[in-house]
Amino acid sequence: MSRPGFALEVDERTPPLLVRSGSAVRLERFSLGTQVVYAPDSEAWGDAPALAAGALAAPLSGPPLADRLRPGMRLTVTFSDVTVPTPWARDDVRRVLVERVLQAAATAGVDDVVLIAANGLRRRLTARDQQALLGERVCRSFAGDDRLQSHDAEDAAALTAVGDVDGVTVSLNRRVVESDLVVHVGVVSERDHGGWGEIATGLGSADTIDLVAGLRQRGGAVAEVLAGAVDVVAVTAVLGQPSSSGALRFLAAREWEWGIKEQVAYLGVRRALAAAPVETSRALYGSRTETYPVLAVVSGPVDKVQAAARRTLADAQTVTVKGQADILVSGVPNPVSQAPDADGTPLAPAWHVLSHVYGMSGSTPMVREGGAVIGFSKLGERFSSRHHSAAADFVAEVLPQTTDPAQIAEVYQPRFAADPWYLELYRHRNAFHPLHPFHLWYAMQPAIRACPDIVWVGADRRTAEVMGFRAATTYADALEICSTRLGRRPKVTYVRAAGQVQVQVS
Amino acid sequence: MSTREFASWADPSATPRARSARLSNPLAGFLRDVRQVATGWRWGRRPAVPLSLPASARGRAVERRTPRRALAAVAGRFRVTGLESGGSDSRVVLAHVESPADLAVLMDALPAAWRIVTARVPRALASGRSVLFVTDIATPDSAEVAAEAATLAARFQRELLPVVVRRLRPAPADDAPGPTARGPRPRLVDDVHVRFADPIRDGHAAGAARTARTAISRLLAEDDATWWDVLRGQAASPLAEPMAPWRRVWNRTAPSMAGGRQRKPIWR
Repeated sequence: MSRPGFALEVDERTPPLLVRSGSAVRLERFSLGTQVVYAPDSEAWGDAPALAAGALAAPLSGPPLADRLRPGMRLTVTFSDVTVPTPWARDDVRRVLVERVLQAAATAGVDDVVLIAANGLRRRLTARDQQALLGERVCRSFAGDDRLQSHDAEDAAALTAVGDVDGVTVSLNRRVVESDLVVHVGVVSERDHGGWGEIATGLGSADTIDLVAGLRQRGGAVAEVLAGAVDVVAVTAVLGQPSSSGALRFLAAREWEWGIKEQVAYLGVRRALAAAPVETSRALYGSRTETYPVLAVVSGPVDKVQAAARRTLADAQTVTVKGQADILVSGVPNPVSQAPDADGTPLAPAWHVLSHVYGMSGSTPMVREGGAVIGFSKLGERFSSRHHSAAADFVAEVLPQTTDPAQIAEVYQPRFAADPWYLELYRHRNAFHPLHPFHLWYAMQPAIRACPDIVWVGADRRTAEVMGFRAATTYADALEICSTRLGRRPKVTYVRAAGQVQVQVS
Repeated sequence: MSTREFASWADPSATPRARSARLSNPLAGFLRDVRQVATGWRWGRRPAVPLSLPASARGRAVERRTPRRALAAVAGRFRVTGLESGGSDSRVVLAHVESPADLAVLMDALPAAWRIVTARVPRALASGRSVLFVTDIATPDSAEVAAEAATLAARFQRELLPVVVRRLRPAPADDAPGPTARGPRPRLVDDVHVRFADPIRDGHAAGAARTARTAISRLLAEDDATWWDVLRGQAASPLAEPMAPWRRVWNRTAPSMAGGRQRKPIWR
């Protein structure tokens, strides 16, 4: 049986703790009394095919999938994209789920089948991405004649209106709307995965996605419109903690359990990154995949599936910490879900700490109002010219003018969203959509508003300044900066978790 | 022109970027790191465990080994499809292979947990190991081999698992350079596929043998069609029909151009 996650209180016997800063790793001594959040151990692997077969035969409500399929119908299978989970799964369970759905379709004599990746404003899938997600069989069967596609949020001909919210037209992928049945295959490894939000942000038009992920935050209203417009069966796998292998196994191991192998691996990785940072980072993280156990597979109506998946996930991931902290501390893994290289863009690491980690505890943040956040990242500006052109210009042109989200949304967002070069990169060069960096920035705002001091250890001073943050050379310096407002004995919570965790503040 | 006011030490218009780590001495911090690890883990003494560690977090983590299949697929030597269970349950594997090289690939692709044997079959099945039957579906005696495998599976109430190994036309290696006017030719590697069918659980040996042969012919049909076409019954493999081995080789090595002549390249 795997061990659950827990919150450790640092004492005299606690060894230095691992902190990740993008591709770099370091050991840090935390002050006595610091609460450290650890994720659960990796669970045993579930039998994904058996779980999938069971879920399709016995959905949460309604008839089994096989009974809903008939010859002559239009079936569309949509699936969440490669940003979930991060790092990539070594053997993605979505392959098994999609194969099971297609087997049922073939048995029922359904000929008109199209597969669509719900990538939304994230980069469209390459052939390698498709192969990694769906396997060789499905790709070879469907990729040849354009029946395996990535969603294009800017292709007006491939979108159709299904309603409106606040005067903004809600549009969805035309094939999805015109299908007799849509099966959405996804994985859930974090609290906010799945549901109508994933379908809206994966298969909607850019305007629709902006309603959900932009400043307006109208996800609930959009979900209502979609639920009345399309018939969707959700098939969702709940993933457990990933298990690392190879040289990076020490990342997930608890420090007091480190043997000589983990200590040597840590020292080796440190030295290799110091000698050749880019090359070593590429070798260690470039094609890194991890094995994810499958905790459960559920199918049925979108809302019910999301609720069931969340319950399973909460049972497996929840860690309770004592009270809100004055300072929230977090490292940044590599890769992060919004960028294949966490060292390359400052927005992705900032989003990871200020949106993902800050949101781990739901409506009650781990850090109190008026507290501080300390993150570990270089906030590097080695943007991928292929994936992150718009993000590079956002940091270089927009943030030096203003960090105010309302002003950014009013003045700069329309220009970026209509820029033909960014749209060309998104539609034909697998780049992120130009609205993507704006949405990352908006997602950080709750943390930025709540915490006046946000300090990045090891960050480029210019970039930190441009983003409205502060830079510190060491963790002690960062605490020193915060001490002017929070005193000399602040209550600190460090999220050490390698893997996914949900935090409950008692 | 910036409208925000920046700190003088971090003004983007006046401050150079942080120096690249590449310029630093890679050995500079090594001793410090070693000292930190040595003191942190109390080299020479028993490592300490934090006192606040909850009871549920004590004890060693269970080490889980990565499935061998995944490693093999990542290695890129062959592609495995349809293999869903790496568990240790005993089973009867009926494999279509055409050469010793294919058999070697198959042995590498089968999960180690299955503990495959090819000799003393009844005893192996009784002791919980898995057994492998190898045949070439296009040869006359393949029906007999399939029947024997199905009989044993029914007798010991094990599942019968059809599998084929296919070595398709050579494909350019992933790291090979593309064709250029004067450059080297791309390095070609065999495109090797190991395809597993769904396991067959049928108490009647004759029916299981027929189902297994059908499953193998469907797996073979994926060579020329696609998995989806085969699923819908729109493709069948001519290789599943009895034919002399030389004819199969002849068919697979036939030149792609009509008339059997290669088109001369327009460059030399």
